[in-house]
Amino acid sequence: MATTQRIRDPIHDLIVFDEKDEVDQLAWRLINTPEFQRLRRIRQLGVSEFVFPGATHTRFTHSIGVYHNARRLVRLIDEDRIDSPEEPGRNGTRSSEDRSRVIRVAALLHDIGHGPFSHAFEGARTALARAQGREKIKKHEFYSAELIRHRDMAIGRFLSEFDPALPEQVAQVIEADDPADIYHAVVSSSFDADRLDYLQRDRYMTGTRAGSVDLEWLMRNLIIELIPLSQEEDDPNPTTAPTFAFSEKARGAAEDFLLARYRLFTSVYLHKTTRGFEKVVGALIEWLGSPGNAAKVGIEGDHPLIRFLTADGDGSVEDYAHLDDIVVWGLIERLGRSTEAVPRRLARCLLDRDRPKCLDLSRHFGTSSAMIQGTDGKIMRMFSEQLGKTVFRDYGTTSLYKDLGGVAASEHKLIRVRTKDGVKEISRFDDTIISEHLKREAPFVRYYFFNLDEFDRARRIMTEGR
Amino acid sequence: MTDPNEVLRQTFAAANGEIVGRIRLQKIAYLLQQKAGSSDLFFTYHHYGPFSRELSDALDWAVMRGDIEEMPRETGFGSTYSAFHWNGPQEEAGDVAGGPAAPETKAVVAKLKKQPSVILELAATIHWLRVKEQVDDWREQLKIRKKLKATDVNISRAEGVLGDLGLAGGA
Repeated sequence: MATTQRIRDPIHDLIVFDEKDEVDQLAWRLINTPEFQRLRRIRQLGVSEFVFPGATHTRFTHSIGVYHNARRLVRLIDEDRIDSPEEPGRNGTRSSEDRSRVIRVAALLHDIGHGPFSHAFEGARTALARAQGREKIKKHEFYSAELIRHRDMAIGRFLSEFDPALPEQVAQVIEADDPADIYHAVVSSSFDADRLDYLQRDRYMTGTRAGSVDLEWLMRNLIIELIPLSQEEDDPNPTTAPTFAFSEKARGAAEDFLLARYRLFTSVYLHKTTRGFEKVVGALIEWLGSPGNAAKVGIEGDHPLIRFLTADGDGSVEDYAHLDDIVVWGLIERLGRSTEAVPRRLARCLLDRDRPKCLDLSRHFGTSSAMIQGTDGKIMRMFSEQLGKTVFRDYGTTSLYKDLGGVAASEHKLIRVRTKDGVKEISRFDDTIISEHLKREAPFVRYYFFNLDEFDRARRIMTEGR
Repeated sequence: MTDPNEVLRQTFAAANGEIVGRIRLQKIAYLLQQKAGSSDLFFTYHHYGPFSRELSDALDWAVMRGDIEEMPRETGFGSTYSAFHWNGPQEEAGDVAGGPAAPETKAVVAKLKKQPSVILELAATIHWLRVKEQVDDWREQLKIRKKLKATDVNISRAEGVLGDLGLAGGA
C-alpha cells in the first residue's frame, strides 16, 4: 500500500514522497534498491573532507536533493508558469505527463553510475587504458545508462514494471549530449536540478561562505529562451533548443549564482591539498590495476575492484555495481601494511593524512605562462622516473565556466538574461561585476612530493627560474 | 604520445594559420589523426563528440604565450566564440606528401574549415561511434545523443565529409 514518506534534509528541509503521486512512489522504491543504496557509500566530494572535514556528504543525499529540485522545476513547466516571451518551440512536449516522469526519474538516477572517488577513479582508469593502448574508457554516464537498462537489477526491473518503455526513455536522457526539449533543461542546463543541489550542498557541507544562491528569486524569474546548440555562428540556420534563462530582474542573483559556482571551483574543487590527495588516490588505483601488482600484495584476482580494473577492455556493469569508497578504503588499509614500498607509501599518505608537499608553479609565477611552462618542463624531465610514485603533477587551465575535466561549458549551460534589447550571456553586460579576468584561461601547474629532498630540488629550479 | 603542442602547430599549419572555434579545431585534429595517423593524441567522448584535453590545454597555453591570437566574437544569441590566428614560429611542419603542410592536406582542411561546426561534430561522432565504440546501430545512437542536430540531412552531410576524407568505411 502506498504511504507518504518523508526525508529531513539540511538543504531542502522536508522532502516528501507523496502517497498520491505515482512518480514519488516509484522514486521511493528506486531509492531502496541496492544500486541506489550503494550511493550512500560514495562521498560526493571524494577526498575533499581531508581539507573540509564536514564534507562527508554522499551521492545518496545529493541525488535525493536533485530529485526534489527536478520535481519543482518540472511542475513549473507542467503548469506553464515559466514566462516564455517569444513562445519558443517546445518540440511538442508541452505539459507532457510522460516526459515529466521520465525527467524526474532521470534526475534521481543521474549519478547512479558514479564510481568510488568519482573523478580520481576515472582518471586512473584513463591512465590504465592508455597504458594498454586502448583509446577510450566507458565513463560513469555509460554505467548509469547500463544500470538503468539492466533487467536483472532492481532499478531496471522496477522501472519496467512501472512502464516497459521507461528504462530506455530514462537511459536516453542520461546519454543525451544536447537538450531535446525544455524538460531536458531540468537535468542539463545553466539552472539544472543537479547544479541547484550541489552548489548549495557543497557550500553548506564544506562550510565555505563565499557566493550565495538566491534560489527562490531565481526560480521566480526563470524564463525560456531558444539557444543555438553549436558554439560558432557559422551556420545561417543553427540548430536551436529551448532552455532556461532569467529575466532582467534576476540578473544580480544570477551573477551571484555563477560566481558561487566559480568560488566553489577555486576554493574547494581545485584546492591544492585536495588535488594532491586525489592524485595519490588515482596513483594507487592505477598501481592496483597494472598487470601483476595486485598479486604482488596478496590481493585476490576476484576482488571486485581488481576484477573490474584488470578486465579485458572495460569492466562489466555487474562488477561496477560492487564498487564504492568502502571497497577501495579496505584495499588502502591492506596496502598500508604491505611490504611493497610504492603502494605502502601511497596508502599511508591517505590513512595518516600525510599530505605531500606542494610546489605551486602558478602561484609562484602568477600569469607568466612562459615561466610556468619552462619550469614545468625542467621539473618534469628531472623527475620523469618518479612521476606517479613519489612525485605527482597536476596541471590544466580554468575559467568562469569550465568543468573539472577542463572542458568549456556547452552553450545550453551558459547563463543568459533577457533584456529589452535581446538576450545576453551574463558576463557580457557593461556593468557586470564579473571580472574580465575570470573569462580568461588561468593556468595551474602544481607538483606534489613525498620526499623533502626531491621537493627542495624542484623548488630550487623554480626559484632559479624567477 | 605525440606532443600536443606539435599537433596544434601542425593543425594550424594545415589550416593556413586560421581556425574559427574550439569545436572546429578539435574535430579537424581528430579527423586528421584518423585520416593520416600522423599523431596519437588521446581523445575521449564529451558533449561535442571526440575531445582531446591535451589539445585544449595546448591551445590555452599557446594563447597565453602569445603564439596564438584569440579573437572573441559575439553570436546573435548573446554568447561568444573565438577565432584563432597562429602567430607562433612559422617553420613548415613536414612539408611532405600526406604531411600536415602538404598541399593535399591543406586542401582537405580547407574543405573542413568551410563546414558548419555541427557537421564536423556529427562527422567526428559518427566515426567515433563506428570505429572507437563499435556501435552496431550508430545512426540510432547518434540520434539519442544529438537528437536535434542529427537530422537526416545533417547526417548525410557528415557522411559526405567522412567520404571525402576516405573514412566512410569505418575503420
